[in-house]
Amino acid sequence: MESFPPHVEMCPAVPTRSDPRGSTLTVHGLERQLGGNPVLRGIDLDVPAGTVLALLGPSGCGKTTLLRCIAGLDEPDAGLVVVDDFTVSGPECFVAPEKRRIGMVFQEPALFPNRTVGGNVGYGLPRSERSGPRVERALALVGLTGTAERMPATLSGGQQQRVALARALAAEPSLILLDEPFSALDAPLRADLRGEVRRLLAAAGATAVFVTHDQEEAFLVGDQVALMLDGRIAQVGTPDDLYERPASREVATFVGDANLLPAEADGDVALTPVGRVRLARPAHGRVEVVIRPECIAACVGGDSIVERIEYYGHDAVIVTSSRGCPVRCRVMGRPPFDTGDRIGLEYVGEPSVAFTP
Amino acid sequence: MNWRAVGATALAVALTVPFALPFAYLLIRNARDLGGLWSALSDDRLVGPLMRSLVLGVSVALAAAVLGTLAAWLVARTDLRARRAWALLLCLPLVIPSFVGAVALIAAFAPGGLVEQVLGIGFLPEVSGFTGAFVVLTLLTYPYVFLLVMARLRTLSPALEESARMLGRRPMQVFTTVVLPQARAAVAAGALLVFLYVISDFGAVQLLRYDTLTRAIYSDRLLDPTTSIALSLVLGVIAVGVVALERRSSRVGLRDQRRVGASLEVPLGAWRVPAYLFLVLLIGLALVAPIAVLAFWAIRGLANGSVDSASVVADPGLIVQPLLSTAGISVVTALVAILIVLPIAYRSVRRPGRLGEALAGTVVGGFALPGLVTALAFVFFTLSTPGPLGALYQTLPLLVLAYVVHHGALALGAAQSAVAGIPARLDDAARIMGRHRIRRFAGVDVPLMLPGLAAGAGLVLLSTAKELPATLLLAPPGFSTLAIEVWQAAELAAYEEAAIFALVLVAISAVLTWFLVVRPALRSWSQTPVTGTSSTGADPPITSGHPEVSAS
Repeated sequence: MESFPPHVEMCPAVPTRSDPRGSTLTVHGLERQLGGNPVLRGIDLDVPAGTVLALLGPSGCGKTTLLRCIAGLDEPDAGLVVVDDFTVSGPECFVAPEKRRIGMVFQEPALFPNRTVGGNVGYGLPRSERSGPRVERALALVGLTGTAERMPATLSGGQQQRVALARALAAEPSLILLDEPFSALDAPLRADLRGEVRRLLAAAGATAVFVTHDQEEAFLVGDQVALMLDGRIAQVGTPDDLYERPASREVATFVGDANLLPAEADGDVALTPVGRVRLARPAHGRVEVVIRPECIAACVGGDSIVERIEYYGHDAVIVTSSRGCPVRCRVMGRPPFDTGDRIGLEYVGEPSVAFTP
Repeated sequence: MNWRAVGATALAVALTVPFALPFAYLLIRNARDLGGLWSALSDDRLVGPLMRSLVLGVSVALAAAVLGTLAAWLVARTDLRARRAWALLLCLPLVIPSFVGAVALIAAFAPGGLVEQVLGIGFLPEVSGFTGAFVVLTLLTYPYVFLLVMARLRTLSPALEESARMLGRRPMQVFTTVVLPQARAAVAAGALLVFLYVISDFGAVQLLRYDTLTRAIYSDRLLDPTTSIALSLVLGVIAVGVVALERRSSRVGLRDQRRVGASLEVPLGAWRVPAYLFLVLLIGLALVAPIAVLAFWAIRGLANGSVDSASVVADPGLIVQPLLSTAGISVVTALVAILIVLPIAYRSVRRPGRLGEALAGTVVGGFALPGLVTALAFVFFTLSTPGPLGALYQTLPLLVLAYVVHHGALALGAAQSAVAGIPARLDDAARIMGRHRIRRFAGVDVPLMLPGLAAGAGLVLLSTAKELPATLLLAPPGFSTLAIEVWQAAELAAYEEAAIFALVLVAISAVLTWFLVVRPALRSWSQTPVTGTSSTGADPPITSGHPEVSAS
């Protein structure tokens, strides 16, 4: 592993851009150890200009460390971070965070308690613009017109996080990093803000990296979703790529509910306990097929016995076993079965994927 | 009516009376002689010393605020190496009482001292007066600001500074626009503590001959008691006012944003060398230099011997008696202080309200009054009262009482936390099992409170061992502590003797300070702040009772 010079001063600031579109972000071979434990084990990412990448992963997988390395708040042990054509972190270069022109929103609002809302939003602007139309515009964008004179402590948690967002957007950065910005908020508020952030990022035209451990949030906000497991990127793709064509068994089980059923594959078809399933990628021999519970239809009469019903209200999961292997099957509303009934199962989904066990 | 509760309240009130005694006596005595008070206040016997006290207090407080804040920021936020070790070293000047610091400064520049002999500087500058007092007091008091600011920086969410950096501000701008405004209350509280320490100080200004209020009070006490008592009242009012201000400001809770984890390190770059130089110089002057000077005189004295067989230089065994006296009187004081404040602590914690606050406030008031003033009030009170009270003058019980009145607040703060730390359910549980009140107290409360009470007793012990003016005024003839020995030797310019006693005193003080102040503070720093807690969890014990602010 190369050793990095501490904070090379020769690195110039990232230049201002007139291009209204977002920056491209490239991360290559990024490695980072914290306290002797490898946290990032060679991360490669490509975020095209103007898109939102949702960085999804369980807590402790290294996603926040990756974000901090991109921001310049943490220094990688190896690898490159490139914004547009500009290397901001590499073997000979480390650009200080304040010179990267990257916007960031943290888990907590982190508003400066001694400054007004307007003072917070204007903090990152040139001196002449710290109060005035630019601040008002940023506040209007997040729906907080007229709060500029108030102190942050007088706002609710959700409003404070909006101010933090306005503060990051006010400087019009071409790259914005969001580190689980809604994790401290109540569920209804989170749902509101998710949609709003999607709209705001699109309006700003900025490239964004959005860290979350919530799969729903990642799917709703991200154009692309990168799933991170144990310091590595397990898969990058659109939300339906990850859900319908997971790259590994770990991805399949982390993203949503999945049955992994033993099957006999022959080319693009596999014979499973729930019948014939078409495969998106050809396979042969003994495999495990990923089958989402909602892709199985249940009917009265058959060779499976209902063991238990998990009733959620809008839907329900029938826990059953088919030819000795447990199967979960999701139906809308309340199923017309009871524990002990015999039912038949049939696969009704799109072509799925298989892994050799 | 619950007679037991009435009895407990009556006991707490009765035990609080001695703490109000010195101030009440000053008020009554001055009120009875308003003409004397008026003439003392209206001429320059007051104005000069008062101005000098205030000028010294303000300038030392400002200097200590700058040094302490800068040191705290360097240690808490930059990429310097071995920051825990620096933090520890920066606290250590706390172990040197102000009169020992003054002795070291005088001895260093005395003929035959370290400056002349080792550095070979023939021309010896005048170190007494304002300059000397300012230097000694600043170097010994900046740790109060350092500790409070460190504690505040530890609880400050790193996300604030990270946000500011991400918004394009350079580290120095982040310090001035984000960190400093957030730490302002801590800096102010530290500066107030330092101000109180300086206006209460007797030892350093007396030895360095800078005529502040304390020095005027001391020198007028025999020939012009009316002026002495009038000036005592003035000083007492200022000191109590400062403490009231400090307590009010610290009651305004610091709203903390929550986030765990280490804060961003500020790369010092080219400033690294000046930063190390600053820390080395600060610790060198405040800690290493005084001890080196004292060691120089002590070693030379022990090597050369003395013609005077009654000197500790000739007979090192002479250290034993003052050492035992210091230890004995300090231990007795600590135990008595705990016994006296415990009922007050129970009353104020278990039944919170106006009365409880008034009782605790009175004890803190006794602590705010400078040690010299407290002692002088007891002197005049006993001398002017016939009968058994008058007979107490210059007896050990009165000395212990004065110590307890002056340092009791340290024990009270610890005792209050200890009482508050007993879960009320435990008492209920023991009661349901039919345990008698006294057995509940001995079997449940006492074991739980023991660590807290021991810490409180330790703080009283430490402060008593270093106490100078009360001992000077109230000790029975022939009773001598280490502080008295240092004092008497320094007044005779017998620096070899003074140095030996001073080193022993500093060593004792260092051991106690390590266990009672530094180690708990370092431990609280190493724990990451718990999500959503108030700042009190990470504060060093210093805010709860200001250990060591004792007029020395």
